[in-house]
Amino acid sequence: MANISYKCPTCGAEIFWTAAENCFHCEYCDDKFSLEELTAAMENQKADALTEENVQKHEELEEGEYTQSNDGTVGNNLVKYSCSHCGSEIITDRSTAATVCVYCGNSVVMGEQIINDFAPKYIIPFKVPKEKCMKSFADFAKKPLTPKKFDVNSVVDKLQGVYIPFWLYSGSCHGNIKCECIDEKTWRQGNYEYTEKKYYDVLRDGVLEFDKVPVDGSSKTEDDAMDSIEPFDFKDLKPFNAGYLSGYLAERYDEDKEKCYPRAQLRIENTTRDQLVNTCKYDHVNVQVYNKNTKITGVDYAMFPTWLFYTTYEDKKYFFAMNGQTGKFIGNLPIDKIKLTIYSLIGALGGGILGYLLGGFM
Amino acid sequence: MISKFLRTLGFAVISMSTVLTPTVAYADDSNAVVGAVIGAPLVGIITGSVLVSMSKSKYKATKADKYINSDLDMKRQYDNYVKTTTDKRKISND
Repeated sequence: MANISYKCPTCGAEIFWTAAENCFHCEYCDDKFSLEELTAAMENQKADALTEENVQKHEELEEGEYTQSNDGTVGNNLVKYSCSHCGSEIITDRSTAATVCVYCGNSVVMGEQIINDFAPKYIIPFKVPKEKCMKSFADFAKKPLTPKKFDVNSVVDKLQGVYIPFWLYSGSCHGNIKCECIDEKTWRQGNYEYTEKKYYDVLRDGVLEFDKVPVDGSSKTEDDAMDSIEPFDFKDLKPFNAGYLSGYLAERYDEDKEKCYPRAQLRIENTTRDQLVNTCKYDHVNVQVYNKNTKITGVDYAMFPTWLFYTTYEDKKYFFAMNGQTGKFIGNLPIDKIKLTIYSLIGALGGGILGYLLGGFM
Repeated sequence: MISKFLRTLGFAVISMSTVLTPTVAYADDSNAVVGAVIGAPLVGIITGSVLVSMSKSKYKATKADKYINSDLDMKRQYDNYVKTTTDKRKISND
């Protein structure tokens, strides 16, 4: 059996999830279906159910068969599938869970990448359509130091909607802090200024619970970038259904929950420490000891929507990402050094004048 | 990354010291000139830093504040008074 693709129940054409309309929309007959309607229509196609027996397994490449991946880097971890629509070979790396056939445009979901240990529990479907993403990037790129030559329109075509694998850690952190706290009071009397400091030995011991702290499980995306596009709104979290992947790219995790856990642990323990410190109502709080014990009670695997693209400007690569649910854009834009110098000099001139005026009054 | 930041910071401090020290010395007792000399590079660096930070929006997440699921359940706490100190400083000769 082939990989999974979704057909319009009315006309049989390829059908995709449409973020703007929050449904499946057939571009040919203009019919629209909710996920439930599409699933019901496909009930008779039992062969499409995701089981280990009937999903297509990848084929290993023969040595030297393909050595270049799409982005020009040498790929040594590639596998081969067949397009269920045109039969063409689809070459991907081992962690790709959904892609689009470059020959016929058919949306292909690699069933073997989303079953058994790789089956996500949740998914947040795309809510931001590509058109809005392109407009948002144009707005995002309008920064004072962005070079004029940085052509936004030439890079937006490279946008790709990608479901990124995330681990969601739930649990609690039992922490205690011992600190020296100081209350300070200052007053003047005659020609003297008095400062009184009251010292306290303080202990706080408490437990804080956390729900679904996300950490991305893909080594291909920058950790900082995936951290930066948070937060995702979990009210849109739905039970995973492969239908949502239709029309987008998707990755399965290649970093397991044990490998990603330290990132979640760090965040949980830092926040617990902050919450404990916030209960110390003093002018100064010096934490001397922080003991913590984090217990994870559940780890869920989910896929979250992102719009990603790389672009090159003056031989340097830039990566941008957008939260496909909330529309939050992140990335480091190129900086025009001449503009930076001019604005800094203007600032310096203003600072000089201000300093001169203030100094004159003193 | 930290070494790059320290290198830039060190360069900025040396540059500022090179310009500021002789100028402040030359300025003698004129507060206005001293204010101008200190204000110019300071505001220039702040302006540049703010503009550069506007072009960068990637950061490593170190907190999980948005995923707190309960109020802090305090198991034990104490605040033991230790001591009081008082300092006295002369503020004027007048």
